[in-house]
Amino acid sequence: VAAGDPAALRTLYDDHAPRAMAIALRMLHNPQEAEDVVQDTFLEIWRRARRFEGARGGAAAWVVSIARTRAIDRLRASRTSGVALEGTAATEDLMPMADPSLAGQTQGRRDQARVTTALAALPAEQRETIELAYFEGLSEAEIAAQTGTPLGVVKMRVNRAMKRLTELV
Amino acid sequence: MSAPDDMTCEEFKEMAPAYGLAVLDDAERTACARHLAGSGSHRGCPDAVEEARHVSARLSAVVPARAPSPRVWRAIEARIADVPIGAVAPRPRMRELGGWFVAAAAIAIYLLSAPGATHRRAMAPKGGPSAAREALGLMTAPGTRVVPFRARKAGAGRATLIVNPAQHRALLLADQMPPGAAERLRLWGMRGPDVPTPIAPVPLVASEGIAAADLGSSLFEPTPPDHLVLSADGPGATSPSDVLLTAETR
Repeated sequence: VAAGDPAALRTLYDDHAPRAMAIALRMLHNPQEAEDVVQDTFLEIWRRARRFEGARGGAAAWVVSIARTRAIDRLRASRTSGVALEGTAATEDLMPMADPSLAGQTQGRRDQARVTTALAALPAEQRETIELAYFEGLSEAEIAAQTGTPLGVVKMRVNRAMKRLTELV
Repeated sequence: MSAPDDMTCEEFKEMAPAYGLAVLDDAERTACARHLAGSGSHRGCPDAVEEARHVSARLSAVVPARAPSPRVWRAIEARIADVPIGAVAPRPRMRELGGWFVAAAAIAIYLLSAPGATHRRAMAPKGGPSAAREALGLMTAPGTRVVPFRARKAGAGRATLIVNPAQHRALLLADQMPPGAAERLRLWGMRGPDVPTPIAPVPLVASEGIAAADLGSSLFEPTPPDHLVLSADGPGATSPSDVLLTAETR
């Protein structure tokens, strides 16, 4: 991709666009908006590929990071403008978790089971904080305001949850 | 004028999980980005961020993957391919862009077609025609707006920023720049009253007084600036002092 090869971008797209689409749809609840995020994500990758330095997690982490950032941009812009994104997609609750022992054979399903299990292992308040942050795109201050929790407590929960998830995933 | 990085590595690492998860507010995120970009030696700061981003990416696995519709790739392919100008995006804002559209197109074409000066190719990393189309594509993309600069001294020239926040793309065009500023032009992003961040050197075609720079997404990282400053301070400057032009971006 860094060499400007569209075929390489297509390969990257085939491998990671479904993941970008999933997270964008989960955050925005709108397929059209989610597809716009996917488009923006891969155009940004095309423009910035030369800066990619093979960080931990590789291309997948990079794609998801950009997709989340673009989705958060849209969420915060809609909050600022007061225009809510219209939800047209059915979205599943993060919890309760599915039985990981019944997870399928694919790597994706194994990953899903592992992460779901890891989230289930968190104390409820930490899991709620991570869900609001990760899937709703709320900042720590917004989480504090929405849940009526002191900001310092929210920060502590984010830190503890992330440290625990680092061990688990 | 430059804001110091007063965050210790221990403080940074305490915030790294939230930074990697993108849940900090703007001020905290800017402070973290400044610390991470600092030239001093770090004690595990980049690793702490990478670890948090890795976890953040892994969390996405909890949502079942879902393929986008075929139109998404078609749209991407059309945008990156060497397609005719205007074939990808509609042109709804020709009136808004006004005379700058014509001027910018002329400047872009000039910069990309004139032989000789390699620094003219700042906008053409992948070759002239593609870059010209990319520049013109930006001007006609949905959400693109024009941000004019205001002169802060006589003979400072004129400049404009063509920016698309949704796409994280920005193009700076300037002309009538003062003689002698060729090697000294700098573009700064100012976040708050006293936080200058150098964004990009601005290559200048000195004989015609024309400057242009494709800023890519650098303008938006770590956060979009409140205003921009085009100065003639040279590459070693840590803050703008010889200010030529400024623009409000919010």
